Amino acid sequence: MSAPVSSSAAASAPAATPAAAAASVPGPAGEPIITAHGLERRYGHGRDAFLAVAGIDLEIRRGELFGLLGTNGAGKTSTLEVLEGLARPSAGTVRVLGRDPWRDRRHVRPHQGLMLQSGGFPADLAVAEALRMWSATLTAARPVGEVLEEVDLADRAGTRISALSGGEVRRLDLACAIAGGPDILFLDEPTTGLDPESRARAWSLIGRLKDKGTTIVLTTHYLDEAESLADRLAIMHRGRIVREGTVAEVVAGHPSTIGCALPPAAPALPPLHGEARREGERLRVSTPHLQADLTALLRWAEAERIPLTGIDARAASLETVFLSIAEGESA
Amino acid sequence: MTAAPASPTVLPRARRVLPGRRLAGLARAELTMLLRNRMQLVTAVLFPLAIPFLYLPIARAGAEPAQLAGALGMMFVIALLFVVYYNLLSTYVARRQDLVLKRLRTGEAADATVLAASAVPALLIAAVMITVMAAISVPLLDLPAPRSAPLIVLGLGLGAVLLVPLALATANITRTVESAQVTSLPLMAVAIIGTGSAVPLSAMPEWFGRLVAFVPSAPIVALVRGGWLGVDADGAVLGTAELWTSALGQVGILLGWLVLACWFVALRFRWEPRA
Repeated sequence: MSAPVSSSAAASAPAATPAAAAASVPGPAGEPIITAHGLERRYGHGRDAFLAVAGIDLEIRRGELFGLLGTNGAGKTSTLEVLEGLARPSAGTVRVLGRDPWRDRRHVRPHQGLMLQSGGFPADLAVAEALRMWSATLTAARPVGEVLEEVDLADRAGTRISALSGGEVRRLDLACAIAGGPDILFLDEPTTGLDPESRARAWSLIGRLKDKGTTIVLTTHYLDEAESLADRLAIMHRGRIVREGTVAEVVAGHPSTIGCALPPAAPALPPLHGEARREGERLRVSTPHLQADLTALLRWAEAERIPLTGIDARAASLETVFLSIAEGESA
Repeated sequence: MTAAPASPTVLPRARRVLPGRRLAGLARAELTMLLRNRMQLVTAVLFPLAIPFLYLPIARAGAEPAQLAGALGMMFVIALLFVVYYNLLSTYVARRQDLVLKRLRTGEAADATVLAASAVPALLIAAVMITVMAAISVPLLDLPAPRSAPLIVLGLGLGAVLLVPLALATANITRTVESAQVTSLPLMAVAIIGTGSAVPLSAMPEWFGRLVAFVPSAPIVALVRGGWLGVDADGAVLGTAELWTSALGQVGILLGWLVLACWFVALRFRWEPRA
């Protein structure tokens, strides 16, 4: 009964292994594969109730890499747990592959892979044994050796979990997430604790999985990670989605910034497009016209013979957008 | 721009997986871990082997067969307590501390499969150890051959299985593997009193004896005694019909406990360590 499924999936993703193809569900690229409407997550009851996710709408499409960003406590993991079918939403509806990920988890789970924030491997098992244990629970597991190869753990196959570094445990976590050849991959902070080299390798692996047609939902604290990997992203703050779209869309309309040290005795500033304000010894300019205002400022400093030190001019980026959202919290 | 599809693809129902495959895969890993844990292995294997020898002095002193068979029941109960109950309590607490249970619960295996898989090696070892203990005891303590082996198997089998949800329930009040040494004591003590050989029931008020009959270990001992010698607690020989009627009651008590314990675990088991 799975023959037509595997042949069509194999046609669209030639790199997929037979086992991975057997588990995948065909569908046009770009169709909504995960949707949430009015998703709420509430902890506690009565007066102590805390609304961690305050009614969000999401639409994640087949084959895309969707980044879920947010300040600490913004509700990322609470949201992810509902999408993964690990928790029931307090309100709202969620559909994954057209099914309820909580109620129909028996049918949805064979098609998804999860990378949790916590390892959860028995310390006394070796790497290959732990992956074999996990694979035994899967409907369509890929060969253990092949998966270890993919996460660069093949040479650690016989090593006890207790002797692994934090980064190696994260890679084993990733190995478990991809062992079933999932259509949808949830990665909760996949590169936290990895050294720069392992991080780069994890990125290229995530890129390869995406090329195979895997839909990936990723949370991360690293904005450069989201910027370079995500097709679309959402920034959460206090349980709501405050920005959503491609990186370009999220950044568009957000001002650039100029910062530098300014002597207290400096004369009045030249006219600028943006807004300037002094923070002690430092000048901060927030402007929609970075080049014009930077030029004006530099010309003025030269004419007035004012030394500007520590000049830092940056175009709007995911980071500046993110920081302004985080600052909004303290304001 | 392409038009959005009218209705997204809905996932077909999941393929069936051979029911035992997940259980076997998880149990295999659990057995590997058990074999690597010296302390647990000693508790599970060496300890039960030593028990029959503890009864040697009683047998030498010329004890009655009924007394010996009662002692035999107690011996098996103690073996089950260590091999199944205490051993599994440590295992479940350790797996919970390492977040292994949390991880497995996010996967495709059902909750019951995850918990049952950890119990498989312990139950297998218990079966082997009890067989070995019985084989040692017969010549060592000069016992007759069992009258009805099925009754013995039924009592010990049900008893062993019952100790699994009881270990899970105890895990709820056990934070660390070390504290299992303390939290396991109440049930161990009650179970040993329930065997009737540790505390002389004849010296106790009647209501106490009636209460003790409902302790899970009491029906195990009764089934072993009845199955081995065909006698009741007072040493009176039972006819076949009487034997099976009394066995039915004992099995009923064990099943009652089993349902109660499983219900508690299904509702209240803690899958994650306390924050």
